[in-house]
Order: sequence, then C-alpha cells, then structure tokens
Amino acid sequence: MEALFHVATFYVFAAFALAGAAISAFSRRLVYCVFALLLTFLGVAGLYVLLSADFLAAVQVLLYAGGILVLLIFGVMLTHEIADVSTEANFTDIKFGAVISGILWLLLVVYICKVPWAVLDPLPPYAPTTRAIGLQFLGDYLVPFEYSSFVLLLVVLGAATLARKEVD
Amino acid sequence: MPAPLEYLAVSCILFGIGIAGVLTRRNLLVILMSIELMLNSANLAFLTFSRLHGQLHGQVIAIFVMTVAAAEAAIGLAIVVALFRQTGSVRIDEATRLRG
Amino acid sequence: MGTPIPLPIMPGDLTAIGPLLAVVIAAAGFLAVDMAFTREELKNRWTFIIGIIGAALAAVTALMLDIGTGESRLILGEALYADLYTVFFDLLFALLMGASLVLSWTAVERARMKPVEFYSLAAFSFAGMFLTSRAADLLSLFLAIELLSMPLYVLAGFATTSKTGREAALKYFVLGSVASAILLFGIALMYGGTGSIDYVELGAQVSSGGRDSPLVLAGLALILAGLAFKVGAVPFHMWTPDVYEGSPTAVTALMATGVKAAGLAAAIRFLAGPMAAALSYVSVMLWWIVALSMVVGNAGAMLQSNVKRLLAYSSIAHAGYILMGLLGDSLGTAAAVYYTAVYVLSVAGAFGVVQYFGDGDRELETVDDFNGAAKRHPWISLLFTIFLLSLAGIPPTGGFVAKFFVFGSAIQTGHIGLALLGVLTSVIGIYYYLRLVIAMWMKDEGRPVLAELSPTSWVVLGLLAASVLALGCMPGWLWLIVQSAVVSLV
Repeated sequence: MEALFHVATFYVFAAFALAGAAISAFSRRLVYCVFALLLTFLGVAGLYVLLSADFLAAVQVLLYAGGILVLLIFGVMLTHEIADVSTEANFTDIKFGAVISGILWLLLVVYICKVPWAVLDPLPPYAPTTRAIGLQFLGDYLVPFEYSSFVLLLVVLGAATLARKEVD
Repeated sequence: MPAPLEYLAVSCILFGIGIAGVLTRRNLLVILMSIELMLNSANLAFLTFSRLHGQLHGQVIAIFVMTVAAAEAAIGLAIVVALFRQTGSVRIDEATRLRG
Repeated sequence: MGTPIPLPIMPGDLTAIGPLLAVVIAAAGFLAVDMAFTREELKNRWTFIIGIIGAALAAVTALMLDIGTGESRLILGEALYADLYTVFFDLLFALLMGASLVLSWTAVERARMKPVEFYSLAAFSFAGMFLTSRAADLLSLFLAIELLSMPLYVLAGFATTSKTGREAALKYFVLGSVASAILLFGIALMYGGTGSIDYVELGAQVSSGGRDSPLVLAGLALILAGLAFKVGAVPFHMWTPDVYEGSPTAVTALMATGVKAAGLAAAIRFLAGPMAAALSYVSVMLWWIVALSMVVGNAGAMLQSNVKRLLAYSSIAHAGYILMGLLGDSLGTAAAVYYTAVYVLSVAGAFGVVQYFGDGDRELETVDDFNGAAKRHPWISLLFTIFLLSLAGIPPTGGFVAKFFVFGSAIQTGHIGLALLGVLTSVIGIYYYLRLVIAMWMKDEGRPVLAELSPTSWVVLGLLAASVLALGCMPGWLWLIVQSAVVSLV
C-alpha cells in the first residue's frame, strides 16, 4: 500500500514537472510560460523529496519559486506593457532546432537505457540531511564554496554596471 | 518503487524540452526559462545519482548549481532589461546582420 | 555538540593559490578606486597602477610555488592542483592581464567604457582563468568556467551602441549558458557512472573498465562538447565570428586569448591528466573535432574581408591544431601546451596592434583599410607582421616551431592523415595572413590612422614580438619546461 502511494506521488510530481516544462517552453503567451515554470519548479521539488533530499527540496522552493521566478516576472513586467495583449513569444525556424535537439535527446535516451540499473532500495526512514550538507560545506567543499562567492560578487557588480549604464 | 531510470527519464525529458526551447524560441525571456529548465534537469540527475550511490556529494553539487543558476538568471535579466531600454524589444531576431 | 571539523587548509596552500588571490584583491582595489576618487584622471591612473601591481603580484606568487620533486600536489581539500603546469599557465595569464591593461586601454576608452568598470569585471574573468588550469574536480571546473565567462557576458553587452554589438552580446550569453548547461549535464552523467567527481578517482574508475560505462561515455561526450564551445572548435564554433566581430575589440582580445587558453588548459588537464584512460573513449570524436576545425576555420577565414572575423575564423583553426596534440602521446600534449603559449602571445600582439589602428571612434575594419600602413607607420606594421607570420606558421617565428611539434607528434603516433590535413590547411592559412601583410607593405593608396602609442605599449608590444621570435629561434628552453609540466600532469 505504501509502495503504491509512493509510485502514485512520483507520477503526479513527474507529470507536474513535465507538463509545466512543456507549457513554459512552447506556449505562445509569455505569462503562461512564466507561471507554468512555477509548476515545474514545484514538481521537481516534490521529486527531490521522494529522493530523500529534504534540504534541497526546501532550497528549490525558496530559490527557484521564490527568487528566480520573481526575477523572471519582473523581467516580463519591465519589458512589456502589462496590459499589452501581444505579450506573445514566437518561434524561430523550427526545423533546424528541432532536428538538433531531437538527435541530442535520442542519443541521451539510448545511452541511459543501455545502463544496467540497480533498483533503489526501499527508502530509508527520512533523515534530515541539512546537518550533513552543512558539514560538507565546511569540509570537502570549502574551497568551491569560497569561490562560488566570487561568482555572486561578480554578478552583483555586473548587474549593477549593466543597469546604471546610461543610454546614448 | 520508481527505479532510477524513471527519475532519469524525467530529467532527460526536461533537458530535451529545455534544449528545444532554447533552439526554437525567439523571445529572450522564454530562452532564459528554457536554460533554467536545463539546469533543473541536471540537478534532478545529480540527486538521483546521489541517492543511487548513497552519498551526499550529488546534493552538495546541486546547491552550487542552484547558486550558478540564480547568478545566470540575474545576469541574463540585466542583459534583457538593458537591451529592452535600447531597442524596445526582447526578440532575438530583431537584427540579423550577423550570420555565421 | 559534534566533533570539531578539521579545515582542509594546510600552511602553504595559500601561496599555491596566490595568483588567484592577487587578482581578486586587485578587483576589490578597482572597486575602492571607483569609490574613492571622483576625478576621471585620478581613477584611471590608480586603476592602471593597481592592475599592474595585481598582474605582477600574480606572476611573483606563481613563481614562489614550491614545486618540490615535480609531482602534482592536491591542495585545499583536494579541490585544486599545484604543479608546474599551473605555474606555466599562471605566468601566461598574468602576462595576458598586464598586456590587456596596457594594450587595451585605448580600445576600452574608444568603446566609451570606463576603464575602472572594464578592468574590475575583467579581473574576475582572470580569476576564473587561474582556476581552470588548477581545477582538480569537475565541480571546480564548472565553477571556474562560469566565473570566467560571466564577466564577458556583461562586458560584451557593455558598450553596445551598435546593433551588431547587442546581437553579439545576446548570442554570446545564450549560447554560453547553453554550453554550461550541457557541460553540467555531462558532469551529472559522469558522476552517475562513477560516483565521484575527482579527476584522480574518475581516472581510476575509467581505467578499471568503469561501472556503467555508457553513462561515462555519454558524460564524457557532453563535457567535451561544453569545453569545445569555450575553445571555439567545430561544430560548436558558430558563435565565434559574430561575437568576435560584434564585441568591443578590447573584449574580443580577451575572448581570443584568455578564454581560449583557459578552455584549452582545462581540456588538456582533463584529457591528458589522471583521466588519460578516458581519452581512448572519445578519440574518434576528438579526431573529427580536430579535422573539421582545421578545415572550417581556415576555409572560413579565407573568405573574410573583416579583420576581426578573419582572426575569429583563424582562431577556430588554431583550436583544431592545438587539440590535435592531445591525440598523440605525452610529447603531443607538450606540443599542445607549447602551441597554446605561442598562440596566446601572437594573438595578444595581433589584437594589441589592431586596437591602435583607427581614429576617433572608428576602428579599421576590413583588410583593405590596412592598405599602405607600412609606409606611414613602419614600426608597428613590422610588429604586426611578426605576429601574423607566427600565426601563419612561417619560420623563424614560434608559430612554425609549434606547428612542427604538433604535426611531428601526430605523425609519430600514426595520425598521418590528420597531420597531412593540418599541413594542407596551414597553406590556406599562409594565404590569408599574407593578404593582410601584402595590404600593409605592398599597397600604398590608403592612409590608415594610428592612435597614439604610449611608451609602455611600445615596450609590451616589443616584448611580445621578441618572445614570439625567441620561441621560434630558441625553442629548446620552453620545450623542456613544457615537457616537465606535462609530466607533472599525470
């Protein structure tokens, strides 16, 4: 019974994630695109929980749904008249892009299907991962942690430079 | 129990949708969103493998990826807004003078 | 409370990342200068001083590294390497930073950028470059590449008053982010196949047959694709001509020298280091990348009349020649490193010269614009000719020796067809580089204008030209250093 429940939740979250992704990548209405992305982010967060990554699920919700999505909505609002009917998003020449992405995707799928997968063990009882992840940050990953802070500093600097540039 | 293959299938389809979005769309904001989809799919793969190997490394890497994703979104939107202030459009095919 | 966590820092580790710290401190210095002064001249003077000090400090700290017996050392929690290879590339990047400060100044101001802003962003890019050559795991590699490219996304779109510039910035950002995502997915698959991201551990897994090898194979292919994009090799080269042409020349110079060299440094470390066993998995893919890069790059460059596009296409071809070295044995790898050094020096010089031609806001664009340059400005034309001859691979310049090493190692390891293709395409290369030389020396109807060169620029250009010639006439000393640097890789 519990296993059945697990499988069902997996498919619900997966359907959320994929449907959201498809809408946000292929809808012609920009606003639909943005809000469908929320669906994807939440669906993926759900999958993280099923993979017993509780901390990451929380970060996913906070950072993507709370941060990046808001940024994107600001982007939409800053670059389009809010009441503008034509917030549409057209396609370029589809053939070339579709063929390339199709080939890449097919290759990936073929390779991944060739792998002899071990079935996941039944989930261990949910144990919080936060503490262990924090210890990793101070141990093995201390240095990457430090230079990812360079990346963040750089982004603040770069975005500020771009934003205050006066237009000729 | 869903097997790793099923999580990876979701991840791969997400990646495929992301690539297709980048290559076929003209609106810069949609392209940015498609890039976020690709990064999300990579993260899902990291977590699946992390679970498969019974380690935490994949989860820690995923946090770094999220940092970079946020950084990229911020830079991307700054470019989009700067572009919009100059041209009044966020479509990527406005000018086609430069070609291969 | 739990047990105390041992910090993974040993004494001496900080010297080993000295160059990185030097440029980051320089970046902070630029920001302080921007805040401290209001007068533009004072800002500019202090930016220059701090930049030069930062570059010099980077070079000095690179030289201070204790190499010991020449073996590779893992530092800072096994995240980074410290060995002769990193010292070699540190010196190259420090030199590049100095050259960029001196030679690009005019171009930066011509593009109406503030030098403070340009160099504070560029400093982060240099920090990324210092990281790429020393990354010891795939996460460090990914973060280094992001740190390296993000400032350039901003800088490419920085000074865009033109339509082409805007389009170039967009193209660079979108395609660059996609390449990063592809690289990242490759890293994920690699991690899935082996359960590790450390080069050493990965190498052990791969050479022992590798669990789940389809995953490793797919991951390798995606990582290689992502790196090929940064390096600008076919079939991931489509962005180069447009972005090189559309970006401000100071930024283009940085892309053609620093980004390319850093991508190559990472690719060489990745494919010839502990992971060398994986190279046999992807050698067919690499073969095609090399062959196509040489053909497409040279054929494309032949058709160009715009100088920046010409240099862009030729840089695709050079990426092909350098990667050819990786198909050989350790001598081939050494040849690739040698070629990278020669390429960086020559292109830094060539772009340095191009930046000074032009008057007011306008730069010289086409090959015909250079008609008669030698008559009016003989000395700088001579320097330009030396750099072009080196890129074309004509003795007695370093370019000839580098090509000789690369083709020689390819023939020795049985890639005779590829070496032959390399020689044939180099002949095409001679044609289009000489077209530029002929325009300068043999034609005299044009009157190209030269911006004023400061004494320091003359010194730097002269040094670059002298080192290009020295690498052609006396290759022995650098060849020895490069060989021991490559030995320390494995």
